Amino acid sequence: MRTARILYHLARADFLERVRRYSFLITLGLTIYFAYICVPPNHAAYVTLQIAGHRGVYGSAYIGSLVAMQTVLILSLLGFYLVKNAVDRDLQTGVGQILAATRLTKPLYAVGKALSNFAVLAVMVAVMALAAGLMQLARHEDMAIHPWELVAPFLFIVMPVMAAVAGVAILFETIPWLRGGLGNVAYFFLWAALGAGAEASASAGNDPLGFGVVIPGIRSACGAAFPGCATSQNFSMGFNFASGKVWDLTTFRWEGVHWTPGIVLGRLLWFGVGLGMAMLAAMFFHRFDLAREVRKKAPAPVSESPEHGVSAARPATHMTLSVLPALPRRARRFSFGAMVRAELRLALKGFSRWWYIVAAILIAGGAVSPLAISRFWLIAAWIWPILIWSAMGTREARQGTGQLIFSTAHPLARQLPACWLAGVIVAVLTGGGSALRLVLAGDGSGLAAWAVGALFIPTLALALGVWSGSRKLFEVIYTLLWYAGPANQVPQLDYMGATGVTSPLVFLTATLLLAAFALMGRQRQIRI
Amino acid sequence: MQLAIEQVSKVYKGNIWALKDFSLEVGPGILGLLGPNGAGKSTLMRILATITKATNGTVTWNGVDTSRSPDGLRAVLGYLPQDFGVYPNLNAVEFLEYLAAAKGLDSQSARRRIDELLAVVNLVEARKRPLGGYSGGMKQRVGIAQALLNDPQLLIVDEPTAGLDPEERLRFRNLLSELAGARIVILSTHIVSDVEACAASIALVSQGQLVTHAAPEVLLRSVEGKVWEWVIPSAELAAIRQRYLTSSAMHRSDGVHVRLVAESPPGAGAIRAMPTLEDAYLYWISNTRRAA
Repeated sequence: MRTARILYHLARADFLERVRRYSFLITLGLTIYFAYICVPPNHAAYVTLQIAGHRGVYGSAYIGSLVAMQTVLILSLLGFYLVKNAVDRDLQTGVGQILAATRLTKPLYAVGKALSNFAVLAVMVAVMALAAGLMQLARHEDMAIHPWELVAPFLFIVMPVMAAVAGVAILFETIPWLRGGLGNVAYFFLWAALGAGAEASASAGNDPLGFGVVIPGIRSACGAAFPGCATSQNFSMGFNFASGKVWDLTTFRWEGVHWTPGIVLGRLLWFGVGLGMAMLAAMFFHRFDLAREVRKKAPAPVSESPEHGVSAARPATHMTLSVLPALPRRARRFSFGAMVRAELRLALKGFSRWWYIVAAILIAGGAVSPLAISRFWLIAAWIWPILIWSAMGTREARQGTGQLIFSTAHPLARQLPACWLAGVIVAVLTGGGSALRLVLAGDGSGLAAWAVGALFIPTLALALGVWSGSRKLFEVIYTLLWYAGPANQVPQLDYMGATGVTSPLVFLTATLLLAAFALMGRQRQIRI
Repeated sequence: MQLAIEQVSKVYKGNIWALKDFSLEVGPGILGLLGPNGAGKSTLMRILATITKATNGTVTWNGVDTSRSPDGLRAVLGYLPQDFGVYPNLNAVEFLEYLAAAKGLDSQSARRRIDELLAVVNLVEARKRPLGGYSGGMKQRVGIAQALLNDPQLLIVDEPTAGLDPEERLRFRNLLSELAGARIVILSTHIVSDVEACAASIALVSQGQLVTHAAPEVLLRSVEGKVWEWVIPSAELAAIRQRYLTSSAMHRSDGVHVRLVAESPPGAGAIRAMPTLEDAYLYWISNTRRAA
């Protein structure tokens, strides 16, 4: 009983702290918009699920399952980034130290935080379920609302996945090397692997995302309505845009999943996975004793005692006056070069020797490979410094140096451009090998695309960093962009010219807009 | 060299007035800004440091409105905020070099200045160690050093002695006194002894308003004849505290030695005492609260 009470209050306080923020309202607004775009009308430019040119009638069962599957796909990724700050918040606010001085155990804390994560995600899922019902009425293909058919996919498909995500988020927060940007990137690839696996194994079974419970039934209904159509080959899920035309889908009726106890139990197992992850997290949890990690990671505490090599404070009575001469007038001479060097040093500090070795290999690989292969080296070279770029524009807020920087003269014209240029220099250096190859091959258009890419990445980082004050937004958006664009050759998103299809002018324009956006954001920060 | 604050107000969301019609003229020397927690001192400091915009009113530096042209003041400003951070992977020299570049100091002068400042704040030996390993007091000293980097004409220090040990606190007070000559130093604190030690004038702030602005001796004169020391039985202490403005109470073998502020003798045996700034502070602040 006492345990349940502790868990309840732990989760409740954390949950309230999160949902009472203005940003959560915006998140809910975006959630409703997402539900809206998940259910496109017929003859729209995109579809979210089609089987050989067919889709289900927008009844409760079909809309419920369709929106639930889209929700699980998106929230299993973005939801992770949204909630992965429960432990960090306690650390930053100092509440963690107070909790650490109580009898609260590590497993209770981890499970309580996972519960809070789950509650936040569950609110978003509930909003999606409600919005799905409204979309059924809005599309008015079938006006009969069947609450159970509409809601059950959210309960048994989405909620268990959210429980697992809630637990994984806590696990990532407690493992030191997964806590920061590296963890954000690593989770993306975990999600991509799971998503790809889920689509591939969507024929049947209890896959993590639950598609195997829904999709086989939809395929069967389609096959029954349109005998002979290739339901197993021509299938797509996600936002698929028709190239230059609209989709014209014919519809079939699908009565929904028959929720047998076996299916329900299978899905509920994922709650257990979430709980298991939280318990595992408890093993790694530092319990706000950062000294445990300090030995390995952070700089050693500096003692002022003489035996540690630092002189004891000179007695105040012996203090000599006039120790600080006046600064000559000629000393006040701003140097943009010095500012850029300082920003570059700040950006590059704290990375291990291995980081530089890998960067050197990527640069060399791009320089010595044939042109066709060199593009792949460039793709790798421009994901490697992601943690350098993601810090741009965020340091002042994260490290609390904003008041020091913003009270200097011309922070908008001096420090911000210097920070941006340092990011560009990092892009130019890491992508330098491939650039050299392009120069040697006389590939002018490739070089132009490369140059735009080198400008685009740090500008995107700066704009997102300044506005969000957090590294996470850039890490998530850039990884998605990198994965879809250069890595998977989606031409519209290829900002570095790896596909050679999209004009660099598109991304140059985007770069200019982002630069203006960054300036606006910093202007706003400087004068509250 | 003059800083003028005219009718400055700051309203936060929810119609919360952090400052209300605050006016003050400040010339060279140390101004101690004294007030209880939440009085609006830090808001005023942030407005003066051009970090925050006032809702109403103007701040002028040598006649120039700092809200419209902040960079004129920023070039000669040294600011130590109450809460500030450092970059944990940089050492003290690198961090100060970074801020020197942002403040527009040329590299050679910056290096020399940083050496001088690290000596002044007693961090020479720890200069090459990452700031992430510094104690709170050492970080505070780095903060003091950065505020002095550009030899500021206006030095604003908000709760500067927080986290410093007594010896370092004394060193800092001496440093401030030495620096005050031809520049304006605004020292915001709720620690009366910090102001007592070095301020040429004191501005008392309460509930977002200026209570009074005067030299320390004027403030002391305002409570002359109103401070009493009185020995009472310990059982009466709670009642005395309720009735009078008590600045201290110490248990001794003959009873409790109470120091209090009252217009007339509180009782038989009460002896008139020499007032301190702490007595004056309590008197003025409690009068304002009562009036509100």
